[in-house]
Amino acid sequence: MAGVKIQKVDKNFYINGQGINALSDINITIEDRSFVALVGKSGSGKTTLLKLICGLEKSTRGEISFFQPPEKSMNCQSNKVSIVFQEPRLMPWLTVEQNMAFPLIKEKNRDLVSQTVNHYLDLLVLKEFKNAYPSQISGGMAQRTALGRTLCYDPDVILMDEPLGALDAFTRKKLQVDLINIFQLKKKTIVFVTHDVDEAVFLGQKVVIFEAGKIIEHVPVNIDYPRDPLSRDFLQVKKKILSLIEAENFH
Amino acid sequence: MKVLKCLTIPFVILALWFIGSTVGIINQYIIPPPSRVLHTAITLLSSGLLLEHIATSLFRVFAGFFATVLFAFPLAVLVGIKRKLQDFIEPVLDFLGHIPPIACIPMFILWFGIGEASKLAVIILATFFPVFLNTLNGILSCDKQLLEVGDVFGFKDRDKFLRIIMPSALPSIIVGLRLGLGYSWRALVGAELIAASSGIGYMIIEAEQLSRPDIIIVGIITIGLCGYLIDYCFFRLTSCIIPWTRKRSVYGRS
Ligand SMILES: Nc1ncnc2c1ncn2[C@@H]1O[C@H](COP(=O)(O)OP(=O)(O)O)[C@@H](O)[C@H]1O
Ligand SMILES: [Mg+2]
Repeated sequence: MAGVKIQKVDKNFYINGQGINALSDINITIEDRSFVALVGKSGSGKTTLLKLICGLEKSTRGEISFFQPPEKSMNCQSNKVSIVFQEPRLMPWLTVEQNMAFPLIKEKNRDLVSQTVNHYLDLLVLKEFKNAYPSQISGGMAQRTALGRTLCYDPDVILMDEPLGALDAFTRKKLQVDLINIFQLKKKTIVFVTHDVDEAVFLGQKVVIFEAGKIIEHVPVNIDYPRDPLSRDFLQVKKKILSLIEAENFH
Repeated sequence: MKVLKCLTIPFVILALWFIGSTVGIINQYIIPPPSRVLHTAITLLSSGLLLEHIATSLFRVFAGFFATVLFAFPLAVLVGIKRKLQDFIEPVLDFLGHIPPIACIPMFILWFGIGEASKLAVIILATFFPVFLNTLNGILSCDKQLLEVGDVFGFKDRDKFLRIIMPSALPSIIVGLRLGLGYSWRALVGAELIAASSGIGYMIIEAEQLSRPDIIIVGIITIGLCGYLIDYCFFRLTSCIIPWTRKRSVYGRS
């Protein structure tokens, strides 16, 4: 279990000596076992922030730290972080089942590994395809496999970078519901990036709006799961977010 | 159906050859009729001479091929890991790659005589490039996105190499081995034509001196068939190692 504290984070990239300011002055506190959605246009720095959180990139300034919930005793602290990329990024030489077991390669207890993998194969309805190679399955299944792989790794904090972006509307809807179920069942901290405001409001307990490398607003979504996208509360939050984005774009 | 299609062109050639010989358009002293070639082939086979030559040549190819793999493969891995070495190796390889192995035979004969060593040297030279370059290329072209997956799951460099880089390079490595095997077969027969006292290439050159075009034709067909069989066996053996690649042929013939 862990939360993430992001304080005054800047990130610059340099291409041919030219600096690009991908993120500036980012401050977010992601509570332990909360579901935070980040929305913003493409190029607004969402992926960069996730890469900073999971250590694939280093921040130029500022600090990213993990904290444990106060009720946890000191000796069972853990802050395993992992990410589900925008693309499934499955190993083409491994079957669905082997791909899911991939992060557990070092685990000595193989019974435990196959138990874990089977559990998620069931949960994500992939059992039938467990022996298929990535080239033989659909995009939705590939993304479910990628999700299953990360879940098998059992991180405390799961980062997701537009994982449903490439899927058709039906598959997408179903996976959104699955994701909420997994969130409630497994008690993980989830940071979910999307450019779809509907998706952000459907999933997030808090929606953080990005614009050109800055945060323009944190919007809490106090609606119980499962949410109805046509309910008044839902539409109200959605309207608020859209107007904030619009206001920013008319500046 | 497919087998029939494959056999159409050889059959047409055989028919033309047969008709040409019977009618008398084809000079028998330049191209002997199919019946005589067949007869010669049967004689050579039953005397065991042909098989002996084939065995000699095959043995040389496999010995040379394994010798090459034993040092080309680790070298490619080394250069693949220590990328700084590339700057040293690349220009040298670019230069050497343009030299046909056969051109080095006179040198090898001076150094090693016409014994087995000079043949081995030719095979090694022919096999080295496809094996080394394809292995290196396979290692270097590993998808960065997959390596990030390793990072995300806390893999050490060693694990990333063994679990991500090597498997992703495997199809390319196998292509290199397959090409190398084909190259070494051709280079060997070439070497045997120039300097040898046994082997399928030697059989051909000896037939030339005896003015026996029938033996030459048997020899040429044997070379083609053996090359084809080696390639086919290698393909069958390796395609079960890489079941995720479903394509039949992965490279253009050179
Ligand atoms: N590795 C990189 N090198 C240089 N610039 C980068 C790199 N990664 C991202 N950027 C730049 O940072 C900005 C934010 O990119 P990104 O985080 O991918 O946005 P998003 O995920 O919101 O679409 C973009 O302007 C992009 O061009
Ligand atoms: Mg992105």
